[in-house]
Amino acid sequence: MEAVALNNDARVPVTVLTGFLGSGKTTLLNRILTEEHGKRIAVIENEFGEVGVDQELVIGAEEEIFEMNNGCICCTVRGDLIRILGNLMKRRDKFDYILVETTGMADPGPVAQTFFVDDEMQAKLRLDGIVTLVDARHVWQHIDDSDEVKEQIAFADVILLNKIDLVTPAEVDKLEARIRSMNAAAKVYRTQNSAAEIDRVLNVGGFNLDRALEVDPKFMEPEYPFEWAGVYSLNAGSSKLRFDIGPDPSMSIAVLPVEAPTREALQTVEMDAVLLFSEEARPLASGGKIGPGRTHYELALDGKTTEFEVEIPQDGFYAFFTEHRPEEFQAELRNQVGPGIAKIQREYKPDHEHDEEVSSVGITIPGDLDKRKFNQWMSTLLQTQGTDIFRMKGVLSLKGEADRFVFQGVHMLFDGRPDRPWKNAERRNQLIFIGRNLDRNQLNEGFRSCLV
Amino acid sequence: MPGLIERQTIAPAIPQIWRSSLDESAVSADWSASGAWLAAVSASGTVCVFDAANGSCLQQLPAHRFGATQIVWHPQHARFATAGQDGFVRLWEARLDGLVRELDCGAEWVEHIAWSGSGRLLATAAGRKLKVWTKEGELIREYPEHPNTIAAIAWKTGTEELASACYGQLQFWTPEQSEALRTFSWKGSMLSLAWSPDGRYLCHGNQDATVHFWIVKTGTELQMWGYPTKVRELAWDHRSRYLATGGGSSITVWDCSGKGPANTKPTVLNFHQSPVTHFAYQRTGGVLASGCDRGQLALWKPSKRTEPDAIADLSASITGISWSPDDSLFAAIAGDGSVAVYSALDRTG
Repeated sequence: MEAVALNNDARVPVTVLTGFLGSGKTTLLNRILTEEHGKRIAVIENEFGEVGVDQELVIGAEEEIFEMNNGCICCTVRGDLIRILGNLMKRRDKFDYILVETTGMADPGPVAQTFFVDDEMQAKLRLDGIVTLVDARHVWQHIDDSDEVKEQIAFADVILLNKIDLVTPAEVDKLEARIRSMNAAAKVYRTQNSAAEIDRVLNVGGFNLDRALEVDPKFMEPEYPFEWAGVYSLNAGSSKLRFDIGPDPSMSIAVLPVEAPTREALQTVEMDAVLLFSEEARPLASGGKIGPGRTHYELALDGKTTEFEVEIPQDGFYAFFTEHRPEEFQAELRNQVGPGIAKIQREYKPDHEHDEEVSSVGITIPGDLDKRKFNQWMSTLLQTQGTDIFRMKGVLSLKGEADRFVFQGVHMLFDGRPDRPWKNAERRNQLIFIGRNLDRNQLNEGFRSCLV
Repeated sequence: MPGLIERQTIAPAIPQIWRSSLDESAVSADWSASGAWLAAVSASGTVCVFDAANGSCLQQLPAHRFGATQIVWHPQHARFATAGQDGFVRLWEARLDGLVRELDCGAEWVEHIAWSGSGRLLATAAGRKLKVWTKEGELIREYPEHPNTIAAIAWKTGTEELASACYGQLQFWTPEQSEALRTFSWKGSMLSLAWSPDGRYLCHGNQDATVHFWIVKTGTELQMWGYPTKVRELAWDHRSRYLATGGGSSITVWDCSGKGPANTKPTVLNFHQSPVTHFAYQRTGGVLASGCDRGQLALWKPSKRTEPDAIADLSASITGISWSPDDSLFAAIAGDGSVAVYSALDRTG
């Protein structure tokens, strides 16, 4: 692990452009090179497209991946980039920005690591962000079986869904949802003909600790194994939960008592519900009994209509967490006096973990961390799963520290430092992992065990 | 701090003879065999030939369109070769003010060129292509393409045996045949090569912050660990006894006499406050001149003292150091285009 603190940067920013062959990288490059934006940009090209190589600062490169003798994956770098960037830096005063185009099949990992592992690169250059172009029409041919496509999406700070004119809006929506389930931290833009504003591509600060979590909060939300929760006010006794026939033959449900019908109160039990959902469900046929607490039921919804008893021990507020949205089944909760209406309800981003090899795990937990426990957990995690963790970033609340602690990482490389004071803000921990075969529950539980 | 007296190195200044500057970052410099001229090339591709005595520019030529990478004088004649990012090596005659020959090296960037000790041959490395030419620029041999970009080449002193390094392997060549004489495999990225002048050792500095020694005759290996950064800078003293190595702001000097450097404690030279970028031993003396990323220069007698004998400052990162043929002067070049010549007269006795 490496901890590096770097402020007031005189280093040259570098954007890495990835994307499959035909996704529009060359078109984007040409736009960037010809548009009037007042920046002098040096380009390192790995695929020879139609960029005029007459330009003095367009350099052709051939991918050379250098693994180190010690076999450590985080030391794997791109030798061609070290050589070419080193040479380019001799003409430092000729440009303000560097753009590196990778081949369609490139693994972004070694590219990113080059900027952290090599001392000279780290001293002189600053990796600003990874921009990935996705061909909205043809990506479906590769997204399920190409590791390169998955990794390019997973590593990205910015994703351009390009060629949207060749598909229907519904298809773009579907693609965007799929991509967000893989990489919840990236900014996603839709483009036609690679026509992206240059500000969306350059200076995005993807590896900048000051901007570690400056992403749309909606995308920072963790994914949940349930799509909906509602808080009801219920009296002691029995209520009935009724479903019509719906799109799925079964649905998981958990009921937890909450203190109040408020969003905040609901939030306090969300993680409990996540953990509950990770345990084995108790199957329940129509007519079965549901109770609040530490059980997670799988309701069989295979009849025309089904009905379940909800046994409430005492008056109070209860949160119902359901795998699917209740309206898909015209679900109704009736008590002794009539149909109940949720005091508050919330929809959650669906969890795609079950069908995505590459995914994001977001964790938001209030409270303070024990530094020693966190360090130990993080180093064990990176030692054992660093190969599969592509990117991570977060803001942490360390016990006894007045300042927020911000960090980001690529594979096993960890970069973190204290940031600004918490002051009156609620102290909490917010982090996201993007990677392959991530175990959401294990990460959640592991992280929770680091709390004071 | 009370009770402690901070020890300060107040070394005398190295006398500067002259200083000039190129149009852009200076990337390489070399002395003519006679010692009368110093030539330097810049990142823009301009070559300047200076009068070594006073620094006046005698010749200025646009040598390479996309920047130059190296300049080397012929070991006997008033002729030099320049390599550039335009795919060519050019041979120039100093006094005739002109180009003798253009050598097409077969790839975009020619990054390494070297004259054999006798001056009969010139080796060029561009991308994965290694070629050997006569001093007139006739192609003698083109070797099979290397599996990766050639990272370094070096002639074995006094012979026509050439070593080349690329990611994963080290190979030995002669002009007589296209096939390699020998191949040493080494998994990793080598950054530089240095033969000991007696030909016993071939060393390389590496990306993974190590220095590797080969006893060439037997193929025995020896690895030195523990450098803070990657190691590119290597320099042997003329007796083949000491190898100076960089890889951080200290210079680590290994004593290779007797049974070699294995299990010995090296001499560590501390003065530079930023990574050491270049150093060179005198051609026939024991003085080492070093430079670092912040432009500090130092002269050392590593076998006697671990503190510098004299120091100087150039304004930018040192990009090259070269001793004059008689070892009385050395030239230092820097990233801001500075070219300076210093006297190495022994003032300390």
